[in-house]
Amino acid sequence: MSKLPPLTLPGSVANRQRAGAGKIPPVTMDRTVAQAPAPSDQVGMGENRIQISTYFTKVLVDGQPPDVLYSGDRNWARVRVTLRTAGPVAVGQFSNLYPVLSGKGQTLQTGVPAVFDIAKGSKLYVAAQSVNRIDLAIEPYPWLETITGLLMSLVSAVTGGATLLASGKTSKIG
Amino acid sequence: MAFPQPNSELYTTGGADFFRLKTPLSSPGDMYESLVSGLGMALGPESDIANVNVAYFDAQAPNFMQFTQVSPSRSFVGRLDANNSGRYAPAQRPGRVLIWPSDLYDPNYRPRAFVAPTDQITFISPVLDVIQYFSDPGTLTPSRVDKEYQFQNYIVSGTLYIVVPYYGRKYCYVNFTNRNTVSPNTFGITGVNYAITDDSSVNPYHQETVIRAPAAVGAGATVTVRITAGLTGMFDALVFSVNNNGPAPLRIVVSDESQG
Repeated sequence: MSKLPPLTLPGSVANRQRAGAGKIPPVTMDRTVAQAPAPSDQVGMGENRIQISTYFTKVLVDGQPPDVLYSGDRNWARVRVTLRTAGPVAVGQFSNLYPVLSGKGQTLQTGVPAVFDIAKGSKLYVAAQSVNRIDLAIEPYPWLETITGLLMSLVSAVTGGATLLASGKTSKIG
Repeated sequence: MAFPQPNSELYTTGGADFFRLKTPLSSPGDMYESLVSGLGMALGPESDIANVNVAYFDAQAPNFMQFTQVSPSRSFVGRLDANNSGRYAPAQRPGRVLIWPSDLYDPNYRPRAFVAPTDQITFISPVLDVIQYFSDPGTLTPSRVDKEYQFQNYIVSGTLYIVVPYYGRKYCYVNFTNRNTVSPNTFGITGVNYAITDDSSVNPYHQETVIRAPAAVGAGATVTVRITAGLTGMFDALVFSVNNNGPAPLRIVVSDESQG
């Protein structure tokens, strides 16, 4: 009889408590001591923090791939880019953005924010033919990672169970 | 030209909304560049040069270079791209935005009456002031500020010539008073339009218009001259001449307004 592994997720409550994040400090029973817990001395977790920065484009030599504005290796993220200079600057999810005005990417408009939801595993490229200033805000979606992980685990469990049922064996999830 | 040249990329990375090219000219061939694109181009407030040429990358032009001009009465609102990845043809130079004065300037100019080596000449170097906007400026009214020059004491052996830029100006007020209590001072004004010429030749092509023929100004006397575009004309420069050390206050105010 086979047994599927317990369903645990990277961002689950159990994992977070094991890591110490969000842990409620012990409460004293001494009535002479204030009961309100002291504020946490830890800053927010890196995956929840919005990355706010200014990005400067550069002129690339012919044949060089465009720069990566955001690489979604770990997280889903909402990327907000605002061109502060005249451009032209093109952004897109494919690396063949050149020439900048070829239409292979979206051309940013000066002073107008452009928002992109970047899936985990994909990248946002930027291409320019001169130095430009771009306001960049990357807002991660850790809960979206949790949801997608949960969904994938459920799908895996369901398909695994279905496979076992189809093979005529009993199964026990969890 | 100013050295080092103003760098447009430093304006970009420094957070400015514009690139200001403000530099005195040192030779007729001065040419400047901007490495970044702009959404508007206009004359700066302190420019002595009235007409400025701008070249930019345009893939539709045969050599990929297109031209426009800005002046006190006309700015350019719209995208002018610097295409550092592209190349102008046939020079194969990067497609930057190029800026240079359309007006002529000749620091080797000498008045026809100039007698070397006793006479001296001094130039107020014309200032090229151009602003390239990084964000949409909407509309641009590139008026220049009035400029005021004041001279008082002179080092003179023969005649001293003072050349003041006057490109595109429509009005000039001149006030000269001889405060030397003993000697008269011979004071004159000439309007000059530069030409492309060989200054070492005996017949340079510059045009000179006598506005006030050199004449003695007695001790304590005052000369006031108003130069207007309508009555006198328009010149690249005004040349003032004196032949005495002074003191002789000379106040010159130039303006783009015709002042009625």
